[in-house]
Amino acid sequence: MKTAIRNNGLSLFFGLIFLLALLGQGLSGHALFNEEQITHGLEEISLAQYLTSSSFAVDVSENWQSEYLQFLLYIMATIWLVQKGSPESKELDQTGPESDKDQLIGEHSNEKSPAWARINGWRHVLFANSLGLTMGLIFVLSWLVQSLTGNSAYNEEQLANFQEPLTWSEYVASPEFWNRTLQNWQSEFLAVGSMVVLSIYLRQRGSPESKPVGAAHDDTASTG
Amino acid sequence: MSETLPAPRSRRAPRIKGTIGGVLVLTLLSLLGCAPEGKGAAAAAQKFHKEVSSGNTSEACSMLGQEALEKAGGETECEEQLESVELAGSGQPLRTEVFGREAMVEFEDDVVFLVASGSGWKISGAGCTPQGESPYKCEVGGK
Repeated sequence: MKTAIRNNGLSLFFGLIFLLALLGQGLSGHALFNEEQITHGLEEISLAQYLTSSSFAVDVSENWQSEYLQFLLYIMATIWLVQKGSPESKELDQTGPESDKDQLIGEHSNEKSPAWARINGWRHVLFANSLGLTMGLIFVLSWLVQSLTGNSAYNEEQLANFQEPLTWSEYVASPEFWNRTLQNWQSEFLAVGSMVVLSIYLRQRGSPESKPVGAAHDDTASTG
Repeated sequence: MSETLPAPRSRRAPRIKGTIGGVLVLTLLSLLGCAPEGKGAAAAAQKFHKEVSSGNTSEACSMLGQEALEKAGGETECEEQLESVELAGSGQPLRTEVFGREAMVEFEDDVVFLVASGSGWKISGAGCTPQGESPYKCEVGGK
């Protein structure tokens, strides 16, 4: 048990703080929603009502889609693009999907390789791209959820202001939808870009996201 | 990272398992929501019209939401105010829009706005006419 916890510490830690943060978002969002209800002379709603409201769903999904887009782009861009001196980059001469030998595919696989890495055909192609496909699928679904729940939340506000609601197609072309989307995207792109560049010159001892403290600034693709 | 497929940075390890399901559940719950039904909104709007046109202003006032009631002079002046209001006949509802805790019912000659209250609906605006991009102008309640 102790070993299992230690061996999965990273995923357990992030899973736990994710749930705590989501709970905190739910509680604080509920309090904020009810503050606004009181301001407008409206009835307060229960926590369950808030957690199933489009207001809560759009706030959650707009952050999810941008995070998964960030990782999707990161996974895909780092296949082809390199950054000299960054531990986040591959070696400068290794751009592209790399050779079967490097990727331990087919005849180059070993006895510990996953079954679908050892065979050819659609299962191999699917498995060889499964990380990007999964992140991409979650991104698309989250963005779709953002558009649907965002449309509903926006229309609730429109009706409260005695204005016409928008259709889904009108909403996805609206400044509201793109402002919600792009304000998340810009921060994600900045964070990834900063990580790539800062890790050239800065170190974090013991972290695999950093080069070894004594590694040269122009040493690419090494992790500490 | 040079030896293997690029992996997401560990500082924010994603938990893919169950996430897709979570996304779908989130949508379903939020779109179904816990708001009262649209049929109830149309029925409440029709009833309000009926009460006003039949002079039952006491009942009509009790159907107003808090802000609309205040705009109509509060409980003391509401009945008197509604007596002087002439709402166009409602007829059959042409369109009902319900989003969260707000609703709008469009009749042939009138538009009524409603707000959820408990398990029912209260009137937030009636006798409303469109003003282009600006909010509807309402005879009762409204902006």
